[in-house]
Amino acid sequence: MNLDTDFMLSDFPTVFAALPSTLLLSLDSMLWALVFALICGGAQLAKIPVLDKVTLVINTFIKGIPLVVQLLFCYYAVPYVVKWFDGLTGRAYDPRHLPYFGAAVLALALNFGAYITDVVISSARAVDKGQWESAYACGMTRFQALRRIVAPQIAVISLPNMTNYFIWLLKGTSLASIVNVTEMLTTARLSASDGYQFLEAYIDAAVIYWIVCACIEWASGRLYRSAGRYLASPSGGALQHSNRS
Amino acid sequence: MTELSAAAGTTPADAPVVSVNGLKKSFGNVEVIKDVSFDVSQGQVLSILGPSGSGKTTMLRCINALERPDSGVISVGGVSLDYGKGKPRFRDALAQRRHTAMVFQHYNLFKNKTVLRNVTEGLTVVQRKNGKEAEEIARNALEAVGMAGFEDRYPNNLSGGQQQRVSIARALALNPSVILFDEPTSALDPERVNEVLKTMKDIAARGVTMIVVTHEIRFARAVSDSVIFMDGGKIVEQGAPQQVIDHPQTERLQEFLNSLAPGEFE
Amino acid sequence: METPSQIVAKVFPGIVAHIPQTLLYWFLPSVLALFLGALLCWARVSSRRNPLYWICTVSISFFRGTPGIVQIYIVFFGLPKLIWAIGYDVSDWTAGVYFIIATTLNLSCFMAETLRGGYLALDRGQVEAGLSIGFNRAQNFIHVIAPQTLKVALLNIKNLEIDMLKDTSVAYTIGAVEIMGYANRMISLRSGVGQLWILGTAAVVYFVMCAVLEVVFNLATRRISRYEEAAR
Repeated sequence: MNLDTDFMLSDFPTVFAALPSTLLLSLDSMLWALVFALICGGAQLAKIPVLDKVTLVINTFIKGIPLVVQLLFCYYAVPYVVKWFDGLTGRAYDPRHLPYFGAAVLALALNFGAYITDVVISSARAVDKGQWESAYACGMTRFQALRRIVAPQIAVISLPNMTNYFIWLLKGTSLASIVNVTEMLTTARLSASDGYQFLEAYIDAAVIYWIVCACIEWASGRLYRSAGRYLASPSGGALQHSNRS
Repeated sequence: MTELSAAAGTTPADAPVVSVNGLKKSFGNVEVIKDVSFDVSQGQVLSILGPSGSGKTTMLRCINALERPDSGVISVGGVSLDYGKGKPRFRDALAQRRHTAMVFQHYNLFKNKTVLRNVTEGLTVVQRKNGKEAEEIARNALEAVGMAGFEDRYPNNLSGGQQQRVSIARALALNPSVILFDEPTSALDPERVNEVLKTMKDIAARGVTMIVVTHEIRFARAVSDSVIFMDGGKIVEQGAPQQVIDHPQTERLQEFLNSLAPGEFE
Repeated sequence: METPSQIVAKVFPGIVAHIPQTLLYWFLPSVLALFLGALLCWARVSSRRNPLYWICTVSISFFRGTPGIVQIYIVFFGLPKLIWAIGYDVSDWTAGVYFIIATTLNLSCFMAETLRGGYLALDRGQVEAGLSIGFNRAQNFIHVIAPQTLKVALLNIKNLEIDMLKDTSVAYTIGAVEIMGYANRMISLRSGVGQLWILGTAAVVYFVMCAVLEVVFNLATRRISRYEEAAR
């Protein structure tokens, strides 16, 4: 089996140099996914009339469509959207630099936002109702209770699942190579196309993804253990909801 | 330590601190509270006894607006809410809550805050006290309940009895018109019950107004100024502890006392 | 200028015609991954001194820590070289085979972890009860361990399968034709006119397939739970 190991070593830095674009794409998408999830999750938790059903339908639809289809859809929609906005705000988009990156972010954010909505909802429900009640009993408003007591707990509870989805998102950015976005996979493919050493380039990329994902999992585990030290159950006490007697 | 003794409140000297009138509450088709009225004066300790399902916890939770009655007027510290006129605004319920503090059966300490921060949270966020003042009040309160030295621990590092005492400190620090106790010892291991009851006795001795829903008859008899026995959503008997507990007028109360401590209250 | 409904009407039959291909690319890896995943799971719950434990742990970490499309490319380019090194020429294999192999490897790693979760959540009392009524190890496995593990893991398996169905859409990147491959071909044939409608049609078809799959799994879960309730 002849693996061009020289090429693998020489190409490594080239692929590695594209890691920041992959991370940028991932973080950007994750941020918007969180915004989307908080809106949808908030609507469903607060049972806002119309909006909670609408967000549920949208999320269900998104979860049934492959990411590839969503990416391609956003990709092909870009020229139309750009033409629509052209002149609207007085700015004209340069046809040579269409916002394909933004389209990819949109597709990734919607896709993962739909899944993260479930994490937000289940984490919020996992907070003991008694926490709300004792906050109210102290005289706090709903906003104060949420901001100071409940939201921090929701954030910590959701950490393991959020990390899982972030890692999934990171891997999903590799599909953005199909839609003209520069990230690690695109770079790997381009660097190999001269000499047809695709396999070596892809192995390089795989190794980098592997290491990055492992690091993220490790870091998140450390963070969860330290931030979540107050989540462990107490010794000999009960932690259920208040009774109605 | 005058901050921790009887609350100032905004009621005139002779008016009751807590006044409940014509309280009614149903959950769906089940009428849980059927027209209950009583008053609590400044510095009084009122114990509420009754079998489970008698509506006593629900009634307690109506006093600080955690439950919304169907009708009735509830006054706490001068803030009056008339539920017969429809649902009160959150702001009004909030005003009433700021005159009360509650000690829950399952403690409900803020999990993500240390013991000290649990006690100061209400002071800084709700009463807008500055950090140093809040901390001083908090430390005094913790000392009063015997939990000095635990300031930096998290609730999940404390026993049930310790958590409940911190919970009492939290209520005390807020200096409310009345402290509501919802079966404060029911979730505790038997060895822990006494430490909490002793703390509650100390608090009562300072002149704090308290309403206590409890199964601890001996405590009720020794510490209360007044006792109410509820059954089926109504007040069945009411009066001084020596009268109600030692000389029950109704059979229902007699049965209840016997079931809790056979032979002791014949 | 065609109307959207005309575009949809033109591509819809073709898309539906490729559903069997998509289902094939979904079904084969699913079944194979269940068995391979069970084997990997067994290695993962065995003792740490077993070398298989470490081999499987590393492999699972690789397949879960790298993107699916990269794995597919590596298998597509690397497997022929590997097999050629032992003397066989596989240049006439269709692309679909590589897709199935890569996906099976990938899915089995996720299956392994899911099954492991189900296995660790097993009620020890059930296992002991099986042994105490005289089951030997194999019977205990078939009648007690396997069904209980699957039951707990079922929710996660359902999610894995639905994701698997959607991931078949990546197959066209190495030339294996199914719904997405057809849709892509249609888009390029029509020089990019009406792409959004074509993609939209494909999206709806995928959505319906996933919905059906979800319903099937939910029914299956309910049936299994029903036996649980009756047994109590």
